[in-house]
Amino acid sequence: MEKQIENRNVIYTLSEGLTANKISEYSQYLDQTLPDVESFDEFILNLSQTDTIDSTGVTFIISIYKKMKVLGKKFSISGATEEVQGLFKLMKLNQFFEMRS
Amino acid sequence: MIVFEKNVASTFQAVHEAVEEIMSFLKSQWPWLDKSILFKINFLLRELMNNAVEHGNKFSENKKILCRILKEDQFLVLEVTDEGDGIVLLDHAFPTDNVESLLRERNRGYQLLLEMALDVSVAGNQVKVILDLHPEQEIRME
Repeated sequence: MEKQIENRNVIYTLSEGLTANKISEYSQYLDQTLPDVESFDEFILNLSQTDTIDSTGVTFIISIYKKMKVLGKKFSISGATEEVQGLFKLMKLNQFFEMRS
Repeated sequence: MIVFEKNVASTFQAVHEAVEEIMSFLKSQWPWLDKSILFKINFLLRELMNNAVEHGNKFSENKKILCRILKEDQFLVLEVTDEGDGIVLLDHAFPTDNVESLLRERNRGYQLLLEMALDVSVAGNQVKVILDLHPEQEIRME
């Protein structure tokens, strides 16, 4: 997982799967690197290099969405594969955040 | 016909490595499998095995899970057995018309199994999922 800041967007890019074996590592990285709340407007999770996901990964995304909502920030997902986007639609989660190609 | 069988340690990392091995095997055996079906197999295997590791074997170092894959005509059967006390399934579906339910942080995996697979059955500490490999008959996720 890598962090970039562009304009007032903080972008986290995953280079491996969003799966149970990686979630504690991602959570820890996020806790340690999330910028000051005043320094960004939008949190973007870049999944363009991720083609595997499980329900623990889905829960991880939901927890980030909820955290950003509490902070008053926009949350979106970018680069998700057709299959990952389909999974979010199946769970009706696409109504809560934008999924950009 | 059994096409793959493996004992897996009770950790999420062992599950991940087993799924990677199985996916490589399936791709080499049946290169015609499309990416939508491969995604579902990958997802379903992780759900079955992660649940077995966490809720069945409770991460015990002394317990293994058995993952068996069978092919019967156009159907793939994913069979996962743990060494736990058996599985109790939820007897209700989660509502899909309220925000709290949609954004819940537990009990998502089993409902996804039901939506993605052709059939899901449980007997004691074994869960069996049947998936249709025929793309024309595949239930699309969208």
